[in-house]
Amino acid sequence: MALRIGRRFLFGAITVFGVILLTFVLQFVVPGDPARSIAGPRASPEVLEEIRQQLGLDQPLLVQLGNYLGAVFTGNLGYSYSFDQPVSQVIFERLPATVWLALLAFAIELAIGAVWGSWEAMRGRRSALLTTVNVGLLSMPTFALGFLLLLLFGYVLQWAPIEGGTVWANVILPALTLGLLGAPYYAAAVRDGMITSLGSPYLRTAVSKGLTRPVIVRRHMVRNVTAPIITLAGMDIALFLSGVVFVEQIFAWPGLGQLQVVAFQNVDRPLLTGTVIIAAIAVVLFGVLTDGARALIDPRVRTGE
Amino acid sequence: MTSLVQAPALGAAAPDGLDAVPLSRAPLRRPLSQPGGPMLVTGLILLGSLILLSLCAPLFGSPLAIDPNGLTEDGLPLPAGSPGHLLGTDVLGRDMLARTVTGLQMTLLVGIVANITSLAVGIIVGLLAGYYRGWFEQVLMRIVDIFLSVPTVLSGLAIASIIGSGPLGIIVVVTALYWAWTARLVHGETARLRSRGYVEAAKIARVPGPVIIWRHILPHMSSLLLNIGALNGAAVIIVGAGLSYLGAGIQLPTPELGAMLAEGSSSMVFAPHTLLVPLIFTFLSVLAFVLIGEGLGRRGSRKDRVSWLSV
Repeated sequence: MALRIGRRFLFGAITVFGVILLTFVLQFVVPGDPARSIAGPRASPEVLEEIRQQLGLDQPLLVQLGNYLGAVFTGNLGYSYSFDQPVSQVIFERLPATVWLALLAFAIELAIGAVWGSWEAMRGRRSALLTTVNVGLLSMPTFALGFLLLLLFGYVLQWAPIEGGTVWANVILPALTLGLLGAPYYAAAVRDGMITSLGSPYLRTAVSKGLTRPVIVRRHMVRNVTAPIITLAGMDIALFLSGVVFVEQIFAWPGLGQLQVVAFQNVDRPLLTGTVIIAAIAVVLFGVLTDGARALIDPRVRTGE
Repeated sequence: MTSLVQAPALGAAAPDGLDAVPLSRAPLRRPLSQPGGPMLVTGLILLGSLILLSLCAPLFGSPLAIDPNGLTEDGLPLPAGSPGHLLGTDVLGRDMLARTVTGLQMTLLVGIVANITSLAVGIIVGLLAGYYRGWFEQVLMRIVDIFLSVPTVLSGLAIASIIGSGPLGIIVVVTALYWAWTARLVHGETARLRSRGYVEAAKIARVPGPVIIWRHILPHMSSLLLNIGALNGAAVIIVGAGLSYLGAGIQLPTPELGAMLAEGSSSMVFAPHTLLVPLIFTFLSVLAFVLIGEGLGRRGSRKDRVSWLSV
């Protein structure tokens, strides 16, 4: 158990190190002249020279890499030109907004997925309507659904002002967008888990020894469904971190996603790559955490069966 | 050799000759009665019509021409169904139909090319990592892990900012973001096929590794690859259009569905069709690939179907 988690941590650390290495290559190796790519095509030679000295670009590449790694590992992700603040400060100011949005979206997709999945499992066969909805949602880009919801609630029904400005328009609608798109995966996990559970010998034993229905559901069925849902939640964070870029842009929610778009528009490279590093750390950490949680809940994972 | 592989002569007893076809060809005869068949056929027809429509783009006139009568007296875009402008006009009075069809062409072109490039990189890495074991496999798969742990759109913006936008840029960005998914799946399948008897036999016969991969392993995962390819196509179109929507892909004035969505979002309050038309066509393009992928996925007995959409 401890060995398993330790191994996961080691692989996670290697992955994060690799992402940091990639951001270094992107910033300092891919552009022929990083100083020019920062200062723009019309910068004077003096300015370029100053930038080179400031960033240590006149040193050998390996020394630059050493400096970069040293800075990142001490928490210094560089300086954001567009916000005139250290990158890490800008990111951590925006992070809570995105976390709230993701939590709400997770609650929505879990609720829809649980109802949808258990309904399909109890029914015993696939419903044509739900298959259609499923394929429709799979084919729906995040931005398309976001705009459809905005048009429906802001324009047709006029429940939410289209300019935003209210909590309802700014949080519920983006969370609903992400939640609806994630729901089919949760529904499938709940359905499959429940069907396996319904046909299993342990359930037959539970029924034949006279346990009541609520006890069977609580002790046997819910636990059987929890493990795959935790796995899904662990993978969701990467999807959310991509999805928020669109929904935060559409619904004007000041989180990480909107920050990344602003950074892109201002060609703020330290901020762009800093966000990628923080996001990768979040994805890896979440993977390790959910793996541990799954092992705690499901003994089969612990013994590696 | 071929006679060994063919199905036993079932057809010998069949009276009408229909069943005389070797079993392996039967699915081609009645595609609609296969599991997932209706989805697959619908998807193929939809994709075919969209490609055909996009190829006819020049027939619909220039997407950049501004019609002097293209706005109402109040200066608003013409709604859909107006005479001469079937899908209406945009805020500048340009024909939406011509713009949408040209945009569709660009979206499909970028999507299909990026799909092929990301699949190619993923298949090659997956095959090599799956066949040659040891440190080589470890190193390649760690690199795959690194690419899988960066959220696509966040990193897409970062990469696009550095290597530049435009059709070529966006193809490189999307390939960089998506090859790893294919690589992981192909790696798993190769590792499974590696221990098959015919691969062992080929190894004993001293067939070189690349030949074994090409002749004995790759053909065995063709149905999996078709499935991955279709779903990858859907994901790639979503991300490609998404990056263009954010301004990191195809640049204006070149019409592209994602970029048109961004334009339409600023005029959707008074002219919803400027948003809805590109939105519907983006949805249809993705839907075609999803239908093909899901349809193919239902044919096999594969328990864990491939699916990684909803970016």
